[in-house]
Amino acid sequence: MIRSFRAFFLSRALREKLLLVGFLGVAVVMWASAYSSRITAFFRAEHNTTVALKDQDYWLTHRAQIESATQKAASQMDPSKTLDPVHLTVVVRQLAGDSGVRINTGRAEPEVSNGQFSINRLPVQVLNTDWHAFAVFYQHLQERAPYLAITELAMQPIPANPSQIMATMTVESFEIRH
Amino acid sequence: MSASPLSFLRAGPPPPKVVLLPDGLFFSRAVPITAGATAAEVASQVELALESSSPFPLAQLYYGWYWTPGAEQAFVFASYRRRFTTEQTAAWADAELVIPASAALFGGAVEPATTLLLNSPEGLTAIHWESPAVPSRVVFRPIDPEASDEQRVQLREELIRGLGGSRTVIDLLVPPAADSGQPDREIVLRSGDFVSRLPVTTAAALDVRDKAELAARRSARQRDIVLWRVVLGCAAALCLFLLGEFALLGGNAWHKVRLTQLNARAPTVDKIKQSQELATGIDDLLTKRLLPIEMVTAILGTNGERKPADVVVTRIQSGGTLGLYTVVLELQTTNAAQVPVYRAALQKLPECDSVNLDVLPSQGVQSKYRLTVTFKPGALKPQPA
Repeated sequence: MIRSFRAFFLSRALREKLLLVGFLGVAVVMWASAYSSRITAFFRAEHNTTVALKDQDYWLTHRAQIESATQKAASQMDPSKTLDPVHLTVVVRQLAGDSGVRINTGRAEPEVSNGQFSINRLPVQVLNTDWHAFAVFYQHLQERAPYLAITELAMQPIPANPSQIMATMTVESFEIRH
Repeated sequence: MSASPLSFLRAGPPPPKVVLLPDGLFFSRAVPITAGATAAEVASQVELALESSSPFPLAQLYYGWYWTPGAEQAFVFASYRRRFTTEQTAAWADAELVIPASAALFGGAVEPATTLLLNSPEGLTAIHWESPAVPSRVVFRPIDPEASDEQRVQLREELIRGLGGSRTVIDLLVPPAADSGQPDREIVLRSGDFVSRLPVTTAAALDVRDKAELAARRSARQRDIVLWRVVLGCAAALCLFLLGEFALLGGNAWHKVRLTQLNARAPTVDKIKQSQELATGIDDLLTKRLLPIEMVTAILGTNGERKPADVVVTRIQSGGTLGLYTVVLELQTTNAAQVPVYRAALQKLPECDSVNLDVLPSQGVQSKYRLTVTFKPGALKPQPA
Protein backbone atom coordinates (compact mmCIF):
# COMPACT_ATOMS: atom_id res chain seq x y z
CA MET A 1 0.00 0.00 0.00
CA ILE A 2 2.80 2.37 0.93
CA ARG A 3 4.49 1.57 -2.36
CA SER A 4 1.30 2.58 -4.19
CA PHE A 5 1.18 5.85 -2.29
CA ARG A 6 4.87 6.37 -2.90
CA ALA A 7 4.50 5.86 -6.63
CA PHE A 8 1.48 8.17 -6.64
CA PHE A 9 3.38 10.85 -4.69
CA LEU A 10 6.49 10.63 -6.85
CA SER A 11 4.40 10.93 -10.00
CA ARG A 12 2.93 14.29 -8.86
CA ALA A 13 4.26 17.67 -9.94
CA LEU A 14 6.75 19.37 -7.64
CA ARG A 15 4.28 22.05 -6.52
CA GLU A 16 1.79 19.34 -5.53
CA LYS A 17 4.47 17.53 -3.55
CA LEU A 18 5.48 20.75 -1.80
CA LEU A 19 1.83 21.57 -1.07
CA LEU A 20 1.24 18.16 0.45
CA VAL A 21 4.41 18.39 2.54
CA GLY A 22 3.35 21.90 3.65
CA PHE A 23 -0.18 20.84 4.60
CA LEU A 24 1.06 17.80 6.48
CA GLY A 25 3.76 19.86 8.23
CA VAL A 26 1.20 22.47 9.35
CA ALA A 27 -1.16 19.71 10.49
CA VAL A 28 1.62 18.07 12.51
CA VAL A 29 2.64 21.36 14.15
CA MET A 30 -0.96 22.32 15.00
CA TRP A 31 -1.85 18.91 16.31
CA ALA A 32 1.39 18.66 18.27
CA SER A 33 0.76 22.04 19.87
CA ALA A 34 -2.85 21.23 20.78
CA TYR A 35 -1.99 17.74 21.94
CA SER A 36 0.90 18.86 24.11
CA SER A 37 -1.42 21.37 25.86
CA ARG A 38 -4.03 18.71 26.48
CA ILE A 39 -1.56 16.07 27.63
CA THR A 40 0.09 18.57 29.98
CA ALA A 41 -3.31 19.50 31.45
CA PHE A 42 -4.16 15.82 31.79
CA PHE A 43 -0.95 14.97 33.63
CA ARG A 44 -1.34 18.00 35.91
CA ALA A 45 -4.92 17.02 36.78
CA GLU A 46 -3.84 13.42 37.18
CA HIS A 47 -1.02 14.41 39.51
CA ASN A 48 -3.36 16.56 41.61
CA THR A 49 -5.90 13.73 41.83
CA THR A 50 -3.19 11.27 42.83
CA VAL A 51 -2.00 13.60 45.57
CA ALA A 52 -5.58 14.17 46.78
CA LEU A 53 -6.29 10.42 46.77
CA LYS A 54 -3.10 9.73 48.72
CA ASP A 55 -4.13 12.39 51.23
CA GLN A 56 -7.54 10.74 51.51
CA ASP A 57 -5.86 7.36 51.95
CA TYR A 58 -3.85 8.79 54.83
CA TRP A 59 -6.94 10.11 56.59
CA LEU A 60 -8.96 6.95 55.96
CA THR A 61 -6.10 4.78 57.21
CA HIS A 62 -5.89 6.80 60.42
CA ARG A 63 -9.65 7.15 60.83
CA ALA A 64 -10.00 4.83 63.82
CA GLN A 65 -6.98 6.35 65.52
CA ILE A 66 -8.25 9.93 65.04
CA GLU A 67 -11.79 9.15 66.17
CA SER A 68 -10.43 7.36 69.19
CA ALA A 69 -8.19 10.37 69.99
CA THR A 70 -11.17 12.71 69.66
CA GLN A 71 -13.29 10.55 71.97
CA LYS A 72 -10.43 10.30 74.43
CA ALA A 73 -9.89 14.08 74.40
CA ALA A 74 -13.63 14.77 74.78
CA SER A 75 -13.90 12.30 77.66
CA GLN A 76 -11.69 14.61 79.71
CA MET A 77 -14.40 17.26 79.57
CA ASP A 78 -17.44 17.36 81.85
CA PRO A 79 -20.42 17.42 79.45
CA SER A 80 -22.50 19.42 81.91
CA LYS A 81 -19.98 22.28 81.84
CA THR A 82 -19.62 22.51 78.08
CA LEU A 83 -21.27 25.47 76.33
CA ASP A 84 -23.28 25.61 73.15
CA PRO A 85 -23.28 28.87 71.13
CA VAL A 86 -26.23 30.30 73.05
CA HIS A 87 -24.78 29.49 76.45
CA LEU A 88 -21.38 30.77 75.37
CA THR A 89 -22.88 34.17 74.58
CA VAL A 90 -24.90 34.21 77.81
CA VAL A 91 -21.94 33.26 79.98
CA VAL A 92 -19.54 35.77 78.38
CA ARG A 93 -22.06 38.60 78.70
CA GLN A 94 -22.73 37.63 82.32
CA LEU A 95 -18.99 37.58 83.18
CA ALA A 96 -18.57 40.98 81.51
CA GLY A 97 -21.51 42.39 83.48
CA ASP A 98 -20.06 40.97 86.73
CA SER A 99 -16.71 42.67 85.92
CA GLY A 100 -18.23 46.02 85.03
CA VAL A 101 -17.15 45.77 81.42
CA ARG A 102 -19.39 46.79 78.52
CA ILE A 103 -19.14 44.48 75.56
CA ASN A 104 -20.67 43.86 72.18
CA THR A 105 -20.84 40.26 71.06
CA GLY A 106 -21.11 38.91 67.55
CA ARG A 107 -22.86 35.75 66.49
CA ALA A 108 -21.57 32.62 68.16
CA GLU A 109 -21.01 29.84 65.62
CA PRO A 110 -19.43 26.42 65.58
CA GLU A 111 -15.90 26.68 64.26
CA VAL A 112 -15.39 22.93 63.99
CA SER A 113 -18.02 20.26 64.45
CA ASN A 114 -18.43 16.58 63.80
CA GLY A 115 -22.04 16.50 64.89
CA GLN A 116 -21.28 15.16 68.34
CA PHE A 117 -18.60 17.61 69.39
CA SER A 118 -18.21 21.27 68.48
CA ILE A 119 -15.86 24.11 69.17
CA ASN A 120 -17.89 27.34 69.16
CA ARG A 121 -16.47 30.74 68.47
CA LEU A 122 -17.73 34.11 69.72
CA PRO A 123 -16.31 37.48 68.62
CA VAL A 124 -16.33 40.01 71.48
CA GLN A 125 -15.71 43.74 71.39
CA VAL A 126 -14.82 45.38 74.67
CA LEU A 127 -15.97 49.00 74.70
CA ASN A 128 -14.08 51.75 76.47
CA THR A 129 -13.19 50.37 79.86
CA ASP A 130 -10.52 50.90 82.46
CA TRP A 131 -7.65 48.46 82.76
CA HIS A 132 -8.68 47.08 86.16
CA ALA A 133 -12.20 46.10 85.03
CA PHE A 134 -10.79 44.50 81.93
CA ALA A 135 -8.27 42.52 84.00
CA VAL A 136 -11.12 41.22 86.17
CA PHE A 137 -13.11 40.21 83.09
CA TYR A 138 -10.04 38.49 81.70
CA GLN A 139 -9.52 36.70 85.01
CA HIS A 140 -13.14 35.48 85.06
CA LEU A 141 -12.81 34.15 81.55
CA GLN A 142 -9.58 32.33 82.41
CA GLU A 143 -11.24 30.73 85.43
CA ARG A 144 -13.71 29.03 83.12
CA ALA A 145 -10.90 27.24 81.25
CA PRO A 146 -10.87 24.77 79.59
CA TYR A 147 -14.58 25.19 78.81
CA LEU A 148 -13.93 28.79 77.74
CA ALA A 149 -10.74 30.06 76.15
CA ILE A 150 -9.51 33.34 74.69
CA THR A 151 -7.94 32.52 71.35
CA GLU A 152 -7.29 36.03 70.04
CA LEU A 153 -6.87 39.39 71.74
CA ALA A 154 -6.02 42.83 70.40
CA MET A 155 -6.22 45.94 72.58
CA GLN A 156 -5.20 49.54 72.49
CA PRO A 157 -5.57 52.60 74.70
CA ILE A 158 -8.22 55.19 73.88
CA PRO A 159 -6.22 58.12 72.44
CA ALA A 160 -8.45 60.70 74.11
CA ASN A 161 -8.32 58.90 77.46
CA PRO A 162 -5.23 56.71 77.81
CA SER A 163 -6.41 55.29 81.15
CA GLN A 164 -9.08 53.38 79.25
CA ILE A 165 -8.68 50.69 76.65
CA MET A 166 -10.74 49.10 73.94
CA ALA A 167 -10.22 45.51 72.86
CA THR A 168 -11.44 42.86 70.46
CA MET A 169 -11.18 39.22 71.33
CA THR A 170 -12.36 35.79 70.27
CA VAL A 171 -13.69 33.44 72.92
CA GLU A 172 -14.15 29.75 72.19
CA SER A 173 -16.09 27.08 73.99
CA PHE A 174 -16.24 23.32 73.73
CA GLU A 175 -19.60 21.62 73.38
CA ILE A 176 -20.66 18.02 73.71
CA ARG A 177 -24.09 17.38 72.24
CA HIS A 178 -26.21 14.84 73.99
CA MET B 1 -16.18 4.41 -14.45
CA SER B 2 -13.02 5.18 -12.48
CA ALA B 3 -11.39 2.55 -10.28
CA SER B 4 -12.09 2.75 -6.55
CA PRO B 5 -9.30 3.92 -4.19
CA LEU B 6 -9.15 0.40 -2.76
CA SER B 7 -8.47 -1.14 -6.15
CA PHE B 8 -5.79 1.53 -6.66
CA LEU B 9 -4.15 0.39 -3.42
CA ARG B 10 -4.59 -3.32 -4.17
CA ALA B 11 -3.12 -2.99 -7.65
CA GLY B 12 0.18 -1.83 -6.21
CA PRO B 13 2.48 0.70 -7.84
CA PRO B 14 2.39 0.84 -11.63
CA PRO B 15 5.44 -0.53 -13.47
CA PRO B 16 8.11 2.02 -14.30
CA LYS B 17 7.64 3.61 -17.69
CA VAL B 18 10.32 2.23 -20.00
CA VAL B 19 10.59 3.51 -23.57
CA LEU B 20 12.03 0.87 -25.89
CA LEU B 21 13.63 2.27 -29.03
CA PRO B 22 14.03 0.33 -32.29
CA ASP B 23 17.34 -1.57 -32.34
CA GLY B 24 17.77 -0.70 -35.99
CA LEU B 25 18.53 2.94 -35.08
CA PHE B 26 21.58 2.06 -32.97
CA PHE B 27 25.05 0.87 -33.78
CA SER B 28 26.60 -1.24 -31.06
CA ARG B 29 29.84 -2.93 -30.09
CA ALA B 30 31.70 -4.36 -27.12
CA VAL B 31 34.58 -2.25 -25.84
CA PRO B 32 37.34 -3.54 -23.53
CA ILE B 33 37.46 -2.15 -20.00
CA THR B 34 40.55 -2.14 -17.79
CA ALA B 35 40.40 -4.62 -14.93
CA GLY B 36 39.27 -3.22 -11.62
CA ALA B 37 37.78 -0.06 -13.17
CA THR B 38 35.16 1.87 -11.24
CA ALA B 39 31.81 2.93 -12.72
CA ALA B 40 33.14 6.46 -13.33
CA GLU B 41 36.23 5.08 -15.06
CA VAL B 42 34.04 2.80 -17.18
CA ALA B 43 32.00 5.84 -18.26
CA SER B 44 35.07 7.76 -19.38
CA GLN B 45 36.51 4.70 -21.17
CA VAL B 46 33.20 4.12 -22.94
CA GLU B 47 32.95 7.75 -24.01
CA LEU B 48 36.51 7.70 -25.25
CA ALA B 49 35.81 4.54 -27.27
CA LEU B 50 32.67 6.13 -28.74
CA GLU B 51 34.49 9.33 -29.68
CA SER B 52 37.14 7.31 -31.53
CA SER B 53 34.73 4.99 -33.33
CA SER B 54 31.76 7.27 -34.04
CA PRO B 55 31.60 9.59 -37.04
CA PHE B 56 29.67 12.09 -34.83
CA PRO B 57 30.80 13.92 -31.71
CA LEU B 58 29.39 12.63 -28.41
CA ALA B 59 27.18 15.70 -28.02
CA GLN B 60 25.27 14.61 -31.12
CA LEU B 61 24.72 11.05 -29.96
CA TYR B 62 22.22 9.31 -27.80
CA TYR B 63 24.28 6.57 -26.22
CA GLY B 64 24.42 4.14 -23.36
CA TRP B 65 26.32 1.09 -22.24
CA TYR B 66 25.94 -2.10 -20.32
CA TRP B 67 28.59 -3.08 -17.83
CA THR B 68 28.50 -5.15 -14.67
CA PRO B 69 31.08 -4.64 -11.91
CA GLY B 70 34.15 -6.80 -12.53
CA ALA B 71 33.42 -7.35 -16.25
CA GLU B 72 36.34 -6.67 -18.60
CA GLN B 73 34.17 -5.39 -21.41
CA ALA B 74 31.21 -3.09 -21.76
CA PHE B 75 28.59 -3.26 -24.45
CA VAL B 76 28.09 0.17 -25.99
CA PHE B 77 25.27 1.40 -28.22
CA ALA B 78 24.72 4.79 -29.75
CA SER B 79 22.56 6.59 -32.26
CA TYR B 80 22.75 9.90 -34.08
CA ARG B 81 20.38 12.28 -32.32
CA ARG B 82 18.74 13.52 -35.50
CA ARG B 83 17.32 10.08 -36.13
CA PHE B 84 14.74 10.91 -33.48
CA THR B 85 12.08 13.54 -33.98
CA THR B 86 11.29 16.22 -31.38
CA GLU B 87 7.90 14.57 -30.80
CA GLN B 88 9.63 11.27 -30.05
CA THR B 89 12.09 12.78 -27.58
CA ALA B 90 9.31 14.82 -25.92
CA ALA B 91 7.61 11.52 -25.08
CA TRP B 92 10.70 10.49 -23.10
CA ALA B 93 10.26 13.26 -20.52
CA ASP B 94 8.28 11.25 -17.99
CA ALA B 95 9.96 7.90 -18.76
CA GLU B 96 11.98 6.08 -16.14
CA LEU B 97 14.25 4.55 -18.72
CA VAL B 98 14.87 5.09 -22.46
CA ILE B 99 16.83 2.23 -24.03
CA PRO B 100 17.04 0.18 -27.22
CA ALA B 101 14.67 -2.81 -27.09
CA SER B 102 17.57 -5.26 -27.06
CA ALA B 103 19.19 -3.53 -24.03
CA ALA B 104 16.08 -4.39 -22.00
CA LEU B 105 17.20 -8.04 -22.13
CA PHE B 106 20.85 -7.57 -21.18
CA GLY B 107 20.14 -8.34 -17.51
CA GLY B 108 18.85 -11.85 -18.19
CA ALA B 109 20.49 -14.88 -16.64
CA VAL B 110 22.06 -16.75 -19.58
CA GLU B 111 24.61 -19.46 -20.11
CA PRO B 112 27.79 -18.77 -22.15
CA ALA B 113 27.31 -18.99 -25.94
CA THR B 114 23.64 -18.08 -25.76
CA THR B 115 21.79 -16.24 -28.49
CA LEU B 116 18.53 -14.47 -27.86
CA LEU B 117 16.29 -13.75 -30.83
CA LEU B 118 13.82 -10.94 -30.32
CA ASN B 119 11.07 -10.72 -32.90
CA SER B 120 9.50 -7.36 -33.62
CA PRO B 121 7.34 -6.04 -36.48
CA GLU B 122 10.35 -4.13 -37.80
CA GLY B 123 12.77 -7.01 -37.78
CA LEU B 124 14.73 -9.57 -35.90
CA THR B 125 17.32 -8.70 -33.23
CA ALA B 126 19.91 -11.23 -32.15
CA ILE B 127 21.74 -10.77 -28.86
CA HIS B 128 24.70 -13.02 -28.36
CA TRP B 129 26.62 -13.72 -25.17
CA GLU B 130 30.04 -15.34 -25.33
CA SER B 131 30.30 -15.04 -21.56
CA PRO B 132 27.28 -14.52 -19.30
CA ALA B 133 28.32 -11.13 -17.83
CA VAL B 134 28.04 -8.81 -20.83
CA PRO B 135 26.66 -9.44 -24.34
CA SER B 136 29.28 -9.54 -27.06
CA ARG B 137 27.16 -8.71 -30.13
CA VAL B 138 23.77 -7.36 -31.06
CA VAL B 139 22.67 -7.70 -34.64
CA PHE B 140 19.47 -6.36 -36.18
CA ARG B 141 18.00 -7.46 -39.45
CA PRO B 142 14.92 -5.68 -40.83
CA ILE B 143 12.11 -7.86 -42.16
CA ASP B 144 9.65 -6.91 -44.81
CA PRO B 145 6.20 -6.93 -43.17
CA GLU B 146 4.96 -9.04 -46.07
CA ALA B 147 7.77 -11.60 -45.75
CA SER B 148 6.68 -15.23 -45.61
CA ASP B 149 7.37 -17.59 -42.71
CA GLU B 150 9.98 -19.37 -44.77
CA GLN B 151 11.83 -16.11 -45.36
CA ARG B 152 11.69 -15.37 -41.63
CA VAL B 153 13.09 -18.83 -40.77
CA GLN B 154 15.83 -18.38 -43.33
CA LEU B 155 16.77 -14.98 -41.87
CA ARG B 156 16.82 -16.47 -38.38
CA GLU B 157 19.19 -19.26 -39.48
CA GLU B 158 21.46 -16.76 -41.20
CA LEU B 159 21.64 -14.65 -38.08
CA ILE B 160 22.51 -17.59 -35.84
CA ARG B 161 25.07 -18.82 -38.30
CA GLY B 162 26.55 -15.32 -38.60
CA LEU B 163 27.02 -14.98 -34.85
CA GLY B 164 28.58 -18.44 -34.66
CA GLY B 165 29.11 -20.72 -31.68
CA SER B 166 25.60 -20.54 -30.23
CA ARG B 167 24.91 -23.46 -27.93
CA THR B 168 21.58 -22.10 -26.72
CA VAL B 169 19.10 -20.13 -28.80
CA ILE B 170 16.07 -18.52 -27.19
CA ASP B 171 13.29 -17.08 -29.32
CA LEU B 172 11.31 -14.24 -27.81
CA LEU B 173 8.06 -13.47 -29.60
CA VAL B 174 6.78 -10.62 -27.46
CA PRO B 175 8.58 -7.34 -26.81
CA PRO B 176 10.01 -6.83 -23.33
CA ALA B 177 7.72 -5.08 -20.83
CA ALA B 178 8.54 -3.56 -17.47
CA ASP B 179 7.31 -5.31 -14.34
CA SER B 180 6.30 -3.49 -11.15
CA GLY B 181 9.07 -4.70 -8.93
CA GLN B 182 11.10 -2.49 -6.63
CA PRO B 183 12.04 0.42 -8.89
CA ASP B 184 14.40 1.82 -6.27
CA ARG B 185 16.67 -1.21 -6.53
CA GLU B 186 16.15 -2.73 -9.95
CA ILE B 187 14.02 -2.56 -13.04
CA VAL B 188 12.59 -5.90 -14.09
CA LEU B 189 11.65 -6.52 -17.70
CA ARG B 190 9.94 -9.62 -19.05
CA SER B 191 9.55 -11.05 -22.48
CA GLY B 192 7.55 -14.23 -22.21
CA ASP B 193 9.32 -16.37 -19.63
CA PHE B 194 12.60 -14.56 -20.05
CA VAL B 195 13.31 -12.17 -17.17
CA SER B 196 15.90 -9.42 -17.28
CA ARG B 197 16.87 -7.69 -14.03
CA LEU B 198 18.66 -4.39 -14.36
CA PRO B 199 20.02 -2.88 -11.14
CA VAL B 200 19.33 0.89 -11.00
CA THR B 201 23.00 1.83 -11.39
CA THR B 202 23.31 -0.40 -14.47
CA ALA B 203 19.99 0.86 -15.84
CA ALA B 204 21.18 4.47 -15.40
CA ALA B 205 24.14 3.75 -17.69
CA LEU B 206 21.84 2.08 -20.24
CA ASP B 207 19.66 5.19 -20.56
CA VAL B 208 20.47 6.87 -23.88
CA ARG B 209 19.19 10.34 -22.99
CA ASP B 210 21.43 13.38 -22.56
CA LYS B 211 23.74 12.70 -19.62
CA ALA B 212 23.40 16.19 -18.11
CA GLU B 213 19.62 15.87 -18.30
CA LEU B 214 19.86 12.47 -16.62
CA ALA B 215 22.00 13.93 -13.83
CA ALA B 216 19.35 16.64 -13.27
CA ARG B 217 16.64 13.95 -13.20
CA ARG B 218 18.63 11.96 -10.62
CA SER B 219 19.01 14.98 -8.35
CA ALA B 220 15.28 15.78 -8.75
CA ARG B 221 14.57 12.17 -7.86
CA GLN B 222 16.74 12.48 -4.74
CA ARG B 223 14.84 15.63 -3.76
CA ASP B 224 11.51 13.84 -4.31
CA ILE B 225 12.67 10.92 -2.16
CA VAL B 226 13.54 13.36 0.63
CA LEU B 227 10.09 14.98 0.28
CA TRP B 228 8.50 11.52 0.37
CA ARG B 229 10.39 10.72 3.57
CA VAL B 230 9.16 13.99 5.07
CA VAL B 231 5.61 13.03 4.08
CA LEU B 232 6.12 9.60 5.65
CA GLY B 233 7.50 11.21 8.83
CA CYS B 234 4.54 13.60 9.02
CA ALA B 235 2.09 10.75 8.41
CA ALA B 236 3.79 8.69 11.12
CA ALA B 237 3.60 11.65 13.50
CA LEU B 238 -0.10 12.12 12.72
CA CYS B 239 -0.72 8.40 13.33
CA LEU B 240 1.13 8.72 16.64
CA PHE B 241 -0.99 11.70 17.58
CA LEU B 242 -4.12 9.76 16.70
CA LEU B 243 -2.97 6.92 18.94
CA GLY B 244 -2.14 9.51 21.57
CA GLU B 245 -5.66 10.93 21.31
CA PHE B 246 -7.12 7.49 21.93
CA ALA B 247 -4.75 7.05 24.84
CA LEU B 248 -5.82 10.44 26.17
CA LEU B 249 -9.48 9.44 25.82
CA GLY B 250 -8.76 6.30 27.81
CA GLY B 251 -6.77 8.31 30.33
CA ASN B 252 -9.61 10.80 30.76
CA ALA B 253 -12.10 7.98 31.32
CA TRP B 254 -9.78 6.52 33.94
CA HIS B 255 -9.33 9.97 35.48
CA LYS B 256 -13.13 10.36 35.72
CA VAL B 257 -13.31 7.11 37.64
CA ARG B 258 -10.67 8.37 40.04
CA LEU B 259 -12.46 11.72 40.43
CA THR B 260 -15.69 9.89 41.22
CA GLN B 261 -13.83 7.90 43.85
CA LEU B 262 -12.28 11.11 45.22
CA ASN B 263 -15.66 12.86 45.42
CA ALA B 264 -17.34 9.83 46.98
CA ARG B 265 -14.73 9.69 49.73
CA ALA B 266 -14.60 13.45 50.32
CA PRO B 267 -17.46 13.72 52.88
CA THR B 268 -16.02 10.89 54.98
CA VAL B 269 -12.54 12.37 54.81
CA ASP B 270 -13.90 15.81 55.75
CA LYS B 271 -15.48 14.29 58.85
CA ILE B 272 -12.21 12.63 59.80
CA LYS B 273 -10.37 15.92 59.32
CA GLN B 274 -12.93 17.66 61.51
CA SER B 275 -12.44 14.99 64.14
CA GLN B 276 -8.71 15.61 63.96
CA GLU B 277 -9.26 19.36 64.31
CA LEU B 278 -11.56 18.73 67.25
CA ALA B 279 -9.03 16.49 68.92
CA THR B 280 -6.36 19.14 68.45
CA GLY B 281 -8.77 21.89 69.58
CA ILE B 282 -9.82 19.99 72.71
CA ASP B 283 -6.18 19.20 73.44
CA ASP B 284 -5.31 22.88 73.08
CA LEU B 285 -8.18 23.87 75.36
CA LEU B 286 -7.00 21.36 77.96
CA THR B 287 -3.27 21.83 77.83
CA LYS B 288 -2.45 25.08 76.06
CA ARG B 289 -3.90 28.47 76.81
CA LEU B 290 -3.36 31.84 75.29
CA LEU B 291 -2.10 34.08 78.13
CA PRO B 292 -2.04 37.55 76.56
CA ILE B 293 -2.21 39.58 79.76
CA GLU B 294 0.49 37.43 81.37
CA MET B 295 2.73 37.98 78.31
CA VAL B 296 2.09 41.75 78.34
CA THR B 297 2.81 41.85 82.09
CA ALA B 298 6.09 40.01 81.53
CA ILE B 299 7.08 42.56 78.87
CA LEU B 300 5.97 45.71 80.67
CA GLY B 301 6.47 44.64 84.28
CA THR B 302 3.69 44.28 86.87
CA ASN B 303 3.51 48.05 87.32
CA GLY B 304 5.10 48.99 84.01
CA GLU B 305 8.56 49.22 85.56
CA ARG B 306 10.36 47.38 82.73
CA LYS B 307 9.15 49.74 80.04
CA PRO B 308 11.04 53.03 79.63
CA ALA B 309 8.83 55.93 80.62
CA ASP B 310 9.17 57.65 77.24
CA VAL B 311 7.89 54.61 75.40
CA VAL B 312 4.10 54.38 74.92
CA VAL B 313 2.29 51.16 73.91
CA THR B 314 -0.26 51.98 71.21
CA ARG B 315 -1.51 48.49 70.39
CA ILE B 316 -1.18 44.93 71.61
CA GLN B 317 -2.05 41.85 69.57
CA SER B 318 -1.85 38.15 70.41
CA GLY B 319 -3.32 34.79 69.45
CA GLY B 320 -4.81 33.82 66.09
CA THR B 321 -2.16 33.38 63.46
CA LEU B 322 0.56 34.57 65.85
CA GLY B 323 0.21 31.39 67.88
CA LEU B 324 -0.13 30.89 71.60
CA TYR B 325 3.27 32.19 72.64
CA THR B 326 3.77 35.37 70.63
CA VAL B 327 2.61 38.90 71.34
CA VAL B 328 3.08 41.96 69.13
CA LEU B 329 3.32 45.42 70.66
CA GLU B 330 3.29 48.62 68.67
CA LEU B 331 5.39 51.24 70.40
CA GLN B 332 5.73 54.97 70.01
CA THR B 333 8.41 57.20 71.52
CA THR B 334 10.11 60.56 71.19
CA ASN B 335 13.30 59.02 72.56
CA ALA B 336 14.28 56.48 69.94
CA ALA B 337 17.53 55.53 71.68
CA GLN B 338 15.62 53.84 74.50
CA VAL B 339 13.89 51.28 72.30
CA PRO B 340 16.99 49.15 71.45
CA VAL B 341 17.95 49.26 75.13
CA TYR B 342 14.46 48.04 76.02
CA ARG B 343 14.72 45.29 73.46
CA ALA B 344 18.08 44.18 74.86
CA ALA B 345 16.57 44.08 78.34
CA LEU B 346 13.69 41.89 77.11
CA GLN B 347 16.09 39.50 75.41
CA LYS B 348 17.68 38.85 78.78
CA LEU B 349 14.38 37.69 80.32
CA PRO B 350 14.58 33.92 80.93
CA GLU B 351 11.01 33.32 79.70
CA CYS B 352 11.64 35.06 76.33
CA ASP B 353 12.55 32.90 73.36
CA SER B 354 13.05 35.70 70.80
CA VAL B 355 12.55 39.47 70.53
CA ASN B 356 12.28 41.19 67.15
CA LEU B 357 12.10 44.92 66.59
CA ASP B 358 10.83 46.46 63.34
CA VAL B 359 10.81 50.14 62.54
CA LEU B 360 7.44 51.43 61.29
CA PRO B 361 6.84 54.52 59.13
CA SER B 362 6.98 57.54 61.49
CA GLN B 363 5.93 61.17 61.39
CA GLY B 364 7.46 64.16 63.13
CA VAL B 365 9.37 63.56 66.36
CA GLN B 366 7.47 60.35 67.13
CA SER B 367 9.21 57.08 66.18
CA LYS B 368 7.11 53.96 65.80
CA TYR B 369 8.21 50.35 66.26
CA ARG B 370 6.75 46.91 66.19
CA LEU B 371 8.06 44.66 68.96
CA THR B 372 7.42 40.94 68.47
CA VAL B 373 8.14 38.82 71.52
CA THR B 374 7.91 35.06 71.53
CA PHE B 375 7.89 33.23 74.87
CA LYS B 376 9.13 29.75 75.60
CA PRO B 377 6.20 27.27 75.81
CA GLY B 378 5.22 26.73 79.43
CA ALA B 379 7.39 29.58 80.69
CA LEU B 380 4.39 31.68 81.76
CA LYS B 381 1.73 30.57 84.22
CA PRO B 382 -1.82 31.96 84.46
CA GLN B 383 -2.12 34.82 86.93
CA PRO B 384 -3.64 33.74 90.25
CA ALA B 385 -7.14 34.98 90.95
